[in-house]
Amino acid sequence: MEPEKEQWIREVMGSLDDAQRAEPNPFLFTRIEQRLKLARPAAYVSTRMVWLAAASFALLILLNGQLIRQKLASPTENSLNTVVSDMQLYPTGNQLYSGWSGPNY
Amino acid sequence: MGLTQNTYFCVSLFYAVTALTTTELDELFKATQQGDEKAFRAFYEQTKARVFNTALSYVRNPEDAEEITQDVFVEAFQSISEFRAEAGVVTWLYRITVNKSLDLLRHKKRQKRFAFLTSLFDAETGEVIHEPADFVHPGVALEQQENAAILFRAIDKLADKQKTAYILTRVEGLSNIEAAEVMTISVGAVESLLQRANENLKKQLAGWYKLARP
Repeated sequence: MEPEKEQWIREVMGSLDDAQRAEPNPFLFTRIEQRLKLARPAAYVSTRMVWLAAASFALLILLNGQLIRQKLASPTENSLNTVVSDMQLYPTGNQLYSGWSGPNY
Repeated sequence: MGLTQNTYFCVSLFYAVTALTTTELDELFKATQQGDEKAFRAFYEQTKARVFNTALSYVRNPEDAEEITQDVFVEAFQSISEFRAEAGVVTWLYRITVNKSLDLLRHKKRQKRFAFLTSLFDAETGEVIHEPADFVHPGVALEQQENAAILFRAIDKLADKQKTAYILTRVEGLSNIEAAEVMTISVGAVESLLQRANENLKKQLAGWYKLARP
């Protein structure tokens, strides 16, 4: 490398050797105070609360699932009729026009 | 935060002329942790130049550096209870400053990338929005300012880690051990980053020689 170029690079790289620390605006602290005053305290949710909420949601989903499963597994009208006719569980009321159309009518 | 102007003046004056040791700074910080507002003010007075100067070296713009300084002290105050004393309080403050400065640089880079979608010039002043003018560091002697501006432009081209190692040691004057603590890497890694940073700066400057010295 040319000596002049090398000298210039050395000068540039040494230009910060005796530099002083720069100071911010003297009124900056007032602005910081203002921001601290305006800043709302961050909403703090404890880990326990987070787990509690998560467990509640899980329980809710589980119960809903169970309910849906029960609904799906409940006997249909046809199977009910089969059970009723097999066990001869006909109504014994005095109504003439009930929804039943079993052999007793 | 309810100090009177008079108290501010007295506190500033005292701490402006008295440089505290790291242990004394730690004591001040402990008092701040216990809710002492005067201690926070004093802590600010003792550390503001470090924070501002570090931020300024990254962003090369006093307004942005002041914005970062504000953010650093607001965050420091708000998360004061979470501070663990494994690292020194000054190290912790430097860490926040470095992270915030790098975040702002990344944000500006993103803005610059999408500059073709927005206006390149400020609507009111007509100034270029995305390219900072040549930066003059207020702490540099007048006869060195031109060279320092070139050096800061070259520092800006370095990779983030090399830039941080260089700024902390060469601009802020931290030892390699202190820089390693701030960067949470080994001293050897800092030395290696500095070596690469110096090589890259020399290469960059060599490329600019003809432009600077026609």
